[in-house]
Amino acid sequence: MKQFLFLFLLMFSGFVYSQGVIISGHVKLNDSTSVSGATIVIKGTTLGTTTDNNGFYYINKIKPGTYTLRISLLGYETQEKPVKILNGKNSADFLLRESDINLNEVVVTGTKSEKMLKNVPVLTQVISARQMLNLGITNVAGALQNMVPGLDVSQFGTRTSITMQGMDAKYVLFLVDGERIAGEVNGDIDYSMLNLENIDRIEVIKGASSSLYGSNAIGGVINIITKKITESFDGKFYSRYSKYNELYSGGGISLKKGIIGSRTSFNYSRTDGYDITPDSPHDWTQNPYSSFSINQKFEVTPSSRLSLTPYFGYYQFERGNVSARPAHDLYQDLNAGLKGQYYLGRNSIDFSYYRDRYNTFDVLDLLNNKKDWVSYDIIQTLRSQGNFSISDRNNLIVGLEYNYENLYSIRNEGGLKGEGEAVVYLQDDIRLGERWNIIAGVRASNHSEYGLNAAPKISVLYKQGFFNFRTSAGTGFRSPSLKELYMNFDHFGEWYIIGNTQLKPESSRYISGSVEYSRTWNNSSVTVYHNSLTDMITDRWLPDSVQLTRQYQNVASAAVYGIDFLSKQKILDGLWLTVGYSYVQSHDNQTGLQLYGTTKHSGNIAADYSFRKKDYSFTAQVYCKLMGEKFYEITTDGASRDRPNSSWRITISQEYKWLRISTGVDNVFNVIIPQNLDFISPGRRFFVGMNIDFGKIR
Amino acid sequence: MKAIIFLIAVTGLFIGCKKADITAPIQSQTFEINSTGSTTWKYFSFAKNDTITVSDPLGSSDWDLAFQRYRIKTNGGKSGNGMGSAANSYQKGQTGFDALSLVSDTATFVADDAINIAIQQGYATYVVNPKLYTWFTIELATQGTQIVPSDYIFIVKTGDGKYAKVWFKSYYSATNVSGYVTFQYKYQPDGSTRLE
Repeated sequence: MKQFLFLFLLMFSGFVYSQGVIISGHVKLNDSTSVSGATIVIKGTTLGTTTDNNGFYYINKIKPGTYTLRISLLGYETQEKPVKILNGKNSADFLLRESDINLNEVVVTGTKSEKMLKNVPVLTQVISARQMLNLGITNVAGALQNMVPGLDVSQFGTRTSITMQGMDAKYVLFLVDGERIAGEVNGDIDYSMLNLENIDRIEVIKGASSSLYGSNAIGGVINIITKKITESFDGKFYSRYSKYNELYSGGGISLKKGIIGSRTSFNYSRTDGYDITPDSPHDWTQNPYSSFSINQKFEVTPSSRLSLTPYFGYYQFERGNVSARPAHDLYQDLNAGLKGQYYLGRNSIDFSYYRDRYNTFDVLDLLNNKKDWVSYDIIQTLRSQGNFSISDRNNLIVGLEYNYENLYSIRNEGGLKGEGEAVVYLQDDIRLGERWNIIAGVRASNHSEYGLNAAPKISVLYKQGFFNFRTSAGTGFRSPSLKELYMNFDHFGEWYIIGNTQLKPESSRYISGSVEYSRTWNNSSVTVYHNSLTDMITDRWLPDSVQLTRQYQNVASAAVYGIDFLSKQKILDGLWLTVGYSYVQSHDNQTGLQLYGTTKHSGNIAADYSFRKKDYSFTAQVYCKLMGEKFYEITTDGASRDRPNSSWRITISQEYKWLRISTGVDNVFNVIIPQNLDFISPGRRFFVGMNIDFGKIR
Repeated sequence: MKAIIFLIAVTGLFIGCKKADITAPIQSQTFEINSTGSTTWKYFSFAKNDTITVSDPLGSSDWDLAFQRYRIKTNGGKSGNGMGSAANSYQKGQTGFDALSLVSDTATFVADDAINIAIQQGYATYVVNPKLYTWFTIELATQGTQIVPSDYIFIVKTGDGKYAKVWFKSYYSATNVSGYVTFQYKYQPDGSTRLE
């Protein structure tokens, strides 16, 4: 009890000795315009604020010492400034530079610690909320398909499915603020539950270069970072409408009073749906649906050392019934968690608990909409991570994690199933001189079904002039899903798919190298990679069963290799050209065939033009997605493939003070390809959208 | 002579009236059969409006239709010793079920036979009624393959040679379990081709 009390006092000690110490300053642009709304944080503490309408900021209750101040604002270059804070009043002013390429942006996914984009040895692509807004995109899967070369999205019936670098969704780990998401089907989560209004940025890491994440991070990690609580009031509302009564709307409110901050965001979307394949009238291209979600986050900072963030979210999705069945789908997700961070000088400790439950129901149309359980999936994670600064050049991370998953499905043998995993991970981040940065890590887990597994990795960054050279090598693995272990599915009584409790994890070896060229007017990168997989799980026919039966087995192996290219080039003031291209070669070692649902060539081109005059700004974008022929499988009728296609979009946005109006046209050339799974557009569609920024109304 | 013609006419009228009295409109019935088993057959009798247990399907004329998942047999051809067979009226159930009043002279009745069906792994051979195998279409979606009724009204000749018109309406129970075939029918017990 005494120790507890001591710890408690320690937590609040920030109050005691720092009352009178203040730092303040002014933030402006080159032309002396004051910058409001910029975020300033004192690194290594919970302290921070945003600049007021006149560009001033003010932080008190600091313990004297040497700190680093970080200032950031969307559309401007992030800056860090070391300051010595003495007793009494201190000041530090900042001069912000507008920047379309923000390599000082802070990312967290690759190393499980905050690092500037230009300094992170694991090549990370960032998609910002602003980019998604300019693109006129309304959902996460769409944003990823548009912005990440080599990431494709297909529609399988009612399910949206992604592939990245030739690997399907089973091998891509999808996270929200570093936490796994419940309710996956064949590796794909329900992307529509990711509320765009709640997203600050999406960080994408390709390949197994960040094996600190364990199972599934073979093909890559996609981490959605939610918006932070802002110091001053922030309120936003958006709505977008297009054909087929397709409506997306939502908003968010952020408030802070004293030591408590709050952020609420909500989303509502619906559509009447459409069908571009009239020969299958009960299988629509886009099903009608309505969906709703709400996310709530609080932040409590009782001292300059401790921050606590409890949060929860609810999501519901109901599909309109166009099928021949007397039932329609209802999905629900309920998640809650607590994140905490405690600073101890240059070290810090993170701790978190997270629980996510995803329910699926059949709603029975003929029985007064009675809800019948189909499945529920519960993921729980308890984690503690220590971040130790051994020296200026050496940072060590030690993490402990416990994951538990429960899955109930009517398609599984024996109802409710569970599996747990205890994990320890270590990562050392060493800088050698100004040019070299090495990150080495290992993740070891003890799984309730498969026992011990260790996945080491190493990433190296070398800087030379305007060039950054990166290389990563690592192993990854994917534990069999509960479905693959326990499935017992009767497919029409014609054949069965059954699970296999003898399965072992799939494993991979990944190596990649990249070169990045980085100027204020150009940022380009080329990455080559090779990923080889063994013990891949696939379903095969059982030879001597009475009933035709397919069973999951560790029988396949494959190699995937390719090259990714991404370049952003300034053409004129305000005019930028972005080009992405991806070439993937994949090879199933048994069949010699290209992997299911992969394409060799894909790319995107975007031209962005924008200008600003006082309170008015104008943005126009022409965007094109190019997709090569996509291969699925060899069937009795020959190979099934998707035709190559290109899709164009034009978006024009105008912003005046607090109001932004966007108009645009999707699928400019009215292309309709009913047989393609990756091209579900019903033809040319106009859309109109509106964003209101209540924080700017005065 | 005139009197005789008159008499015949009156008698005919009388007989006509009498006949109309006996043959009151036949009842429309709806039945949901549990044919979820993929290895067993469920036997149905129109006369009983119910499933019946049949120990020797090839030797019994009691049953009229047999169900296994979406596969349907009649009591004839390779499936039974009865007089069963089926024809497609090519009328749709929603619009034409009540209107279809008579077995058409041109209806092509087909008895049960072996048919080859492409399935996941090559081909399967089923002994079913080939006409009744068109009561549904399969809509293959990668998720949620569906059996969708074609909505055609079929003319079924029963085991003892009578007629019924049958409209297969659904493959799913109210609780969304597949293998429950719901069908609406009118069975003519008097052996005539009248279906009203």
